[in-house]
Amino acid sequence: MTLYRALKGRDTGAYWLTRKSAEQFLQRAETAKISESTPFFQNIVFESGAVELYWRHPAIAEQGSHSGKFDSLVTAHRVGRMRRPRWLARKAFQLYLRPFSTGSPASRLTGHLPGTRGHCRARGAAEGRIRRTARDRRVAWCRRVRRGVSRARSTPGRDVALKVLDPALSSRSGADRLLDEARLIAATEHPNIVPLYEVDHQGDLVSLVMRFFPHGSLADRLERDGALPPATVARLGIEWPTRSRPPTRRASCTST
Amino acid sequence: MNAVQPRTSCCSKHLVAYQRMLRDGWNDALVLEDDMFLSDDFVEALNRSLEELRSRAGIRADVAYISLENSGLRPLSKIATHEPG
Repeated sequence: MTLYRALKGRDTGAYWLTRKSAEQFLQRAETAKISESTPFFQNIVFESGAVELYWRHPAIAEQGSHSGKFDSLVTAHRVGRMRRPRWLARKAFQLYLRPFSTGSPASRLTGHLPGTRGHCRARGAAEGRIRRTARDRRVAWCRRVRRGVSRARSTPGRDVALKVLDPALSSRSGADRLLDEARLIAATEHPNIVPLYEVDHQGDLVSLVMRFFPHGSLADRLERDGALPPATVARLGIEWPTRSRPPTRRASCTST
Repeated sequence: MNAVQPRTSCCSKHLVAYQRMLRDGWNDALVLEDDMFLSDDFVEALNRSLEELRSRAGIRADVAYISLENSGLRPLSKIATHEPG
């Protein structure tokens, strides 16, 4: 996997885009005065959702004025003698050390080497938020399954998945989109849609209590086993319309 | 004219590139600034990513934008969603 969804851009020296994306940028340029540089201008369009941004990782291009090979014509700032060595050291760390820092791709995204103070602090803060949310939701925290998702045990002894959207890592629009999605799921009853038991929105912290599936999601299975056989896909396609149910269940949604 | 800065010029050149895409009817384009250094396997790596873009579910490929460079060395932890595509 090389593409990662993002809401904000990084550098604009090399990118690929479609015609519709170009139309969206031009439309924005016609309706609003542009006083920002390219990355800031593009971020406005990305945040509106009109264009979907993906980061390619690892990157396959670098800008000479950033890496210290020569000066930029855009700014009057001169490249210092240490800029190039510093940039190369940082790049070497990201290329050769970070990929071996942890086992799973998700944990590689933490941005800290395991055992370092930053890694412990980030992990502790994330788990602390999940534990506090679990306590507020009156469920016994069991263990973290992946970033932002924990397996928990509710009061009647039922295993549930507690999904917490980290406010430090999300934008306001991300929380709003998650709430919209939660309302849609809550209004739907279907065997192929994960049941949503409860939605809680306190301040900037959004948490969902959902049914826990021990074998993971379809994305987990595709990542683990690769493409599904045609027969399995056909079976799922046949089951979908025949197992539909009218909406009968609604989850509770609280907001403070 | 005093308000026009080099970065404004840079931004307008990107917009001119988008206008040319529409004028010439290109379905997609690779935009490169003039100080880029490309990796040795740039073409193959880009093609792999484009293939992934078209084959993966849940991606609106018609309004996609792929950032290929990371000269600022920003780690993936800086992305807002923390979820692969």
